[in-house]
Amino acid sequence: MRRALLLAAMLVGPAAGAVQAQVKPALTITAPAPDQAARTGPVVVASHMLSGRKLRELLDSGFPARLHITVELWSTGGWANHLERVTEWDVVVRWLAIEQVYEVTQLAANRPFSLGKFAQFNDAEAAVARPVRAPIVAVVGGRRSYYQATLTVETLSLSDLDEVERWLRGELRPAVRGQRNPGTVLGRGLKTVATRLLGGERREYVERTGVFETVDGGR
Amino acid sequence: MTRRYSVSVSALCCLAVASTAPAQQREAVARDIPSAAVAAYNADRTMRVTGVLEVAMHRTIEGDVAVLNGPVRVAGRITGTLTAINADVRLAPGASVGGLIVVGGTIAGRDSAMVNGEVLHQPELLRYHLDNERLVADAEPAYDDAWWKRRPRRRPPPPGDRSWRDLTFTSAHTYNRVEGLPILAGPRIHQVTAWGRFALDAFGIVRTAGPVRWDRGTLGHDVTSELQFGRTLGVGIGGRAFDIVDAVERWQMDDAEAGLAAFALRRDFRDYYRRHGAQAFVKLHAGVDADLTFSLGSERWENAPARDPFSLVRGETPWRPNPYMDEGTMHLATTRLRVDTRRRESSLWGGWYLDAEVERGTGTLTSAPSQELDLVLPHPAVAVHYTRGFVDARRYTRLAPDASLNLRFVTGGWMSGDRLPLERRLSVGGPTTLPGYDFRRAWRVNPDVLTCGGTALPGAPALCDRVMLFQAEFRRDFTVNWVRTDATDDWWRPGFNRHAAWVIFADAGRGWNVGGRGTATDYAKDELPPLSTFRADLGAGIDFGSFGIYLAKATTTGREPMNVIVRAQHRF
Repeated sequence: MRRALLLAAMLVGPAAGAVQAQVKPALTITAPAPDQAARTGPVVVASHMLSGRKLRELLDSGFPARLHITVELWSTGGWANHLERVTEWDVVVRWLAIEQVYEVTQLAANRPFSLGKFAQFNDAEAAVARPVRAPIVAVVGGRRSYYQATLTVETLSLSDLDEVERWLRGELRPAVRGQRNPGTVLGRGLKTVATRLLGGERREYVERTGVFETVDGGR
Repeated sequence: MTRRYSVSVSALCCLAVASTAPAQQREAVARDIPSAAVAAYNADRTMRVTGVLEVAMHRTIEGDVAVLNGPVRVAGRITGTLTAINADVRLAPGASVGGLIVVGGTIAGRDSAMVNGEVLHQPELLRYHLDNERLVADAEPAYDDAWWKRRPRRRPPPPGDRSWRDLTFTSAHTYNRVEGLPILAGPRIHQVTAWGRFALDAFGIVRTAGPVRWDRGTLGHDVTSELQFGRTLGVGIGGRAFDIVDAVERWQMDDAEAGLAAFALRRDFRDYYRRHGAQAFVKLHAGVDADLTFSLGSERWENAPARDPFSLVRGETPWRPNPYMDEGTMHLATTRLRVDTRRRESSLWGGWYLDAEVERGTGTLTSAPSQELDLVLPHPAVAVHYTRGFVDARRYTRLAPDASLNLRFVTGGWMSGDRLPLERRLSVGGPTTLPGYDFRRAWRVNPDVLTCGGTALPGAPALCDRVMLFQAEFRRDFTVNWVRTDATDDWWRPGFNRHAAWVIFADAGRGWNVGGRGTATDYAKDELPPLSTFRADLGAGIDFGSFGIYLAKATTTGREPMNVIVRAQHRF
């Protein structure tokens, strides 16, 4: 019965939107089974990250949303934990007013990968929430390890739009803002303030797996 | 809000259509789920769709269907296999599909629908590219730790390093009791080429501190040009002409924080002098992480009396006088090494920071008056030559994802030659070095190992020939959710929600003079003061990133009261 209700809601857009509006953003990271840990990485899911009226308003006003995910592999033992490996990627969501669609693009290893264009906001959010297996495998050797995922969500200020455009055109370089033309500092400042006043500030989520031990010979 | 939900777009992009479903082929290629999905998508008779696919209740699609990105909503019937790649599949009650392969998506409504064949499901995203309309799965990227182990040491210049030129009008991002708010205006040219880059920044300076007289107290200039060969690794040559007001001890506090304290609280934690001259330099650089600069310059040093700029509070309180400085013409040869492996886009890595400098100065200086009575006595100009060194070394170590131990060692001062001019003397004490001791107010410290006697003079100048400072802090992150929390509150609800760190710290340091003047702060040139003579403090606080509040208590001078410190950045 519950599934039928959910399905009915799914097929009726506005009702689905009402259901979605009540869910909260959540970041999860799941470590592979111990016998797989030396061959495959953890799975990261960022669900409902676009929920919230203010973020939706910013997106619809042309401010892209950027999700930056960092996954770290730590090992335990000794007097301190040790950072073994790191990987990171981005997901950019933007509203294309001409096409009337939300475009979702993943940027990993400096390469853009389209997750699709969606007329419905919920579909774009579902694309953002696709599980991603991070290419970061545990170190073999009986070490006890754990993963930590950090997700920052921010709406990009207008000064970042050029960079987004270059990303999406494929002119990909490391996403470092670097030196900017100081001649437009005043304009940028005003736009940044406007973005902040609108609520376009940074949000951060952190999740960690339990400690696991890599079973040797898995690789 | 419902405008877009009412849009029922079926963005079908049919690239090929098949009429029958070769089920036997499906079984043959189903070695693993992504391979099966790719094979199904590329099969000649598969109907391929990019974007939304909606199959209405009474509609039937004959044969196999493959969908990229989706979503797929099925209320009718698909006789063949439905393959969804990076797409969610939603099956309505009574829907019917011949088989189901879903990669990088979810399946909803499977229990109430009819799936006649095999169901293959992999939730994780499939990365692929299209080659002449054929879908090719990308290999999972092998983990390569070289990129993050190497990158911090030799990162290329940022992508924003593009050619541009404009007329700039901006502030110097600081504020002080000599200049007020310095305004910079002038052309900037940055030309990036295949072999490197050329940069010219030509600023006129207007100082807003009153009284504005349109003389050299109000007007200045700062023109820098550099020709750089090589982008990531290379060498640059350049020159600089300047008439500026510079800080004596830049290492203690950065421009923004010093400016904020001066503007808001009328407390200026720096001393200043005028520099008018030119220099040429050669810079060896390794990306943005390290550079080694050799410079030769000739400049005139002058006093820069405090004026009376505006401040938000304590407007009736006079500014601390800017101490008298030595005046004259100096020729400077400087070697500076800067290494910084800490930076990361969102937060600090563990890493190293090193700023080391050796300066040799020769010239003729007129000594600053040492007391009020000296003001009426003429001081002869004397020849001066000195060598001075300075090292600021820091190690940032992450002990766990949310904990770090940071260490800092600073030492510097006289190395050889005559005594250092006042512009090159040093001190410790105050919010950035020994927060348990007041800045230039350590009257209870006897002997005065913080300023080496400077607090007895107008403006309390730094008078030490050498200083040494150790700083250690342990930080642990936590989430501030007193008012709201990201996990449960509405996304943009106003409130105070930040990630913060509690910090415990300890500092120890002192300054001393070199030579046989017989004072309690004098040591021989090859002698280090005993550690028991160092001043130390302990403290704790909360760091919110953009600001922090700390309590610090001097442990080696019991009469010093506890200090409350507010910082506008990390401690170091």
